[in-house]
Amino acid sequence: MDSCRNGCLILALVALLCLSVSASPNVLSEADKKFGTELLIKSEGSVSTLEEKYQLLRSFQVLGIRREELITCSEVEAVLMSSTSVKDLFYASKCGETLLCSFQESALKTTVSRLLSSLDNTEALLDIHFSLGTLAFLKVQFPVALNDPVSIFQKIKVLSAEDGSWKYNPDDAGTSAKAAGTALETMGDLISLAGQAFDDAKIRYLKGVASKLFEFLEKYDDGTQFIDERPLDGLYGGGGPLAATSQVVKGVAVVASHTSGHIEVPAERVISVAKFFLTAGIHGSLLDMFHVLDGLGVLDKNRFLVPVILSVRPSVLSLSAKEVFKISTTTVLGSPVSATITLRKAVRANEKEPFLLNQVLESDETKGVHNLNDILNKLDIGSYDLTFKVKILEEGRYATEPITIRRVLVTGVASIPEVEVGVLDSDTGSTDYVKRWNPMSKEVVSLYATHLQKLYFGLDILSPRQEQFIPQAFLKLKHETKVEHLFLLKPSGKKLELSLNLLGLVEKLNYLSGIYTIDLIVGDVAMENPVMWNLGTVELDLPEPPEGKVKLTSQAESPFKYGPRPEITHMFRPAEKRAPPTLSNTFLALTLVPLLGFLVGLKLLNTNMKNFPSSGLPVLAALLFHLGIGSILGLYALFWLKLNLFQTLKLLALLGTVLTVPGYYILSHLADASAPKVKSA
Amino acid sequence: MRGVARDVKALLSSIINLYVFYTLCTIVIKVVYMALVGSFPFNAFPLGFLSCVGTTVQAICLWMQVNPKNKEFKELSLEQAFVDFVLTNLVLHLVVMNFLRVERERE
Repeated sequence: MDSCRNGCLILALVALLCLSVSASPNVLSEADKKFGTELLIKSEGSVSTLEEKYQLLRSFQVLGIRREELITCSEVEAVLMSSTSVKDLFYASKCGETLLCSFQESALKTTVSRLLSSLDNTEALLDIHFSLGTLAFLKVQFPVALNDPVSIFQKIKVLSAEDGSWKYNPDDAGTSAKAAGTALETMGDLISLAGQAFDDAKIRYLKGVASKLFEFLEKYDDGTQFIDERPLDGLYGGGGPLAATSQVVKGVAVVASHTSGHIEVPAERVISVAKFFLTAGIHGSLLDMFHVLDGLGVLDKNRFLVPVILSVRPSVLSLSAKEVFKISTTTVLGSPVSATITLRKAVRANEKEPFLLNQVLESDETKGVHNLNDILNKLDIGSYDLTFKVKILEEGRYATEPITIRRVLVTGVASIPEVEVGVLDSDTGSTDYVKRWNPMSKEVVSLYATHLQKLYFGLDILSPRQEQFIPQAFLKLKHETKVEHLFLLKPSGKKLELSLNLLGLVEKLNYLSGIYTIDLIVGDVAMENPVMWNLGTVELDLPEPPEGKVKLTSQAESPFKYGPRPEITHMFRPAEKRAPPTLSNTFLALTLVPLLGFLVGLKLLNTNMKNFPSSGLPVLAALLFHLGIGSILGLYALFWLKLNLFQTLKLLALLGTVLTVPGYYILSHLADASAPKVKSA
Repeated sequence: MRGVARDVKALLSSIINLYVFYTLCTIVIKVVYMALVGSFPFNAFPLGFLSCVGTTVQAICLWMQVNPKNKEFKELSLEQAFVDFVLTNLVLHLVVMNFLRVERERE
């Protein structure tokens, strides 16, 4: 039972960790929008193509700004009338859509007929997409009729793959989710042009494709999800994951806007995609900004699901400035959405016990803003994890994360009433001298200590709510020669303390006696008033350094720390003693003496040389045999002096073969010659 | 004195015996040298020493094989024994030369 409970606790902790690790980006604030607008205005001068102009226009539109300097309706009309590129026609019509231009049928009749004929002749998805998009825009102005909508539908459908992704062309090797998004957008345009050709089966099919597209989402570690770009997409415009995700979202939105009823999309994934765009934010190239804003624009207002994001502002609250928390539930672009929010719990960071539970927030319905003022007088400085539960009133259209955790930092002014400074006896611990330093009076202390004593520093720090608070605190001792030493004060019980045992520190201080100034440094991320106080001076009487150790001055210290080190010289092993040459030469001669003795002995014995053959082939063989042996010995000598093993072995093999032939011959000759003798014996 | 001289003469009467005696002398001289000078370079001493010992051993083998009184080796002919002697000597000296070369290069 116990292990079960522990296991559950661990799981809960892990789940909590995962939740807190997830990204919690903020929705686009007014400041963000202003910044984005400035960036876009700056890049106005560098756009030239229709596609770029449309991207700028659409970005401005999402930010709520109308810019007519970029392109005018008459320019759009001119393009629509004369251009032969379906891509230019498409982007021109998109510009016209954004600018809310209106055109006459008479002027664009030829364009329409050109587009209709191109639809009959093309198989490529992008061409169909551009043509249908233009025609859908024109249909808003005047009636447009398609020749054969069903065959166009089939042309698009034939490019699909089993798993729900799409190709751009019939002969493409791969498929991608981005292409599927484009296909959906195209089919949505087709519905708007020829809705009567779409029966229930086709609509169901389209909704199924849209739902299935969300399965292609991939995850980042921070919990955001996105559609990744496949290599195929790179061939048809590219744009990275931002473009791919934005296209998929657009496709689903267009289908949703032209069909009635509901498309099944997983809420959690739509929210993750919204977070993906919000985390990407407004910066970077014009193209990236366009994709982010385009995607956010679709997610802000659509007919399938609108993600709602909880914002807690400010994320760093200053108690001294009497700031208040404003919690809002809005769409990604900041439009308020009605909801009830409950603060499930508020926990101090790194603590387990929540100090506040289940507080329903008061809300101002019209503005979608909720107050958290009740807890302000309970908050102290530090970090808090606030867990919120959100319930949206209109659940069909909107979706949000039911439970979110937000971390906030509360800052304030900490107070330090006094600092205790003392000199203690090392052995007994009894106080020889203690003084209380007051930050108000700033009266400096003047201490004297020898190496047999201890220095003691202690202080209490109080938060604005008069609670104990532990920031970071350092003590700096600085000698007259500008040598500094830093020590860390550690919490013990309710105080921060530092006890310097001078006996142990003598070496660290480099045996430098003299007057040291004492500085206390206290600070923390939650503390709005960090301090550095000069507490006074301490005169340290340290013993002399032991023999051989140089007492370093400050000048000497720096080269040792940062300057070059002394050069290391290698000590090679001393060469070994060899025998003097005369002695070794004598022995060389001596070694040869037995050889001479051997030869003399041979002579004395009247060696039998009679068997040496005297004529014919045997002579040659015998000669060769002896020569062969002699040459092998010569080879050995060469081997010793010069050659390596492989060369020697090669030559040896050669000589060996040369040797064996005559050797065999002569020996068998001798054997035959002496055989009768042996037999007779 | 004369008896000793006669014995020595009998002993050295064959070539092989003389050869064995020669190699043994070389061994003695080498050991004396090493004792005097010390064993650097270390490998030189065993090499020289064992080379002599090797040839001594081979010579003795040859003598054994050739000795008519020796019953074991009756089938083996003189020539074959001689060839064995030569070949083994060559192999021994090849190995010795190899290590001598290594020693020399190490210097």
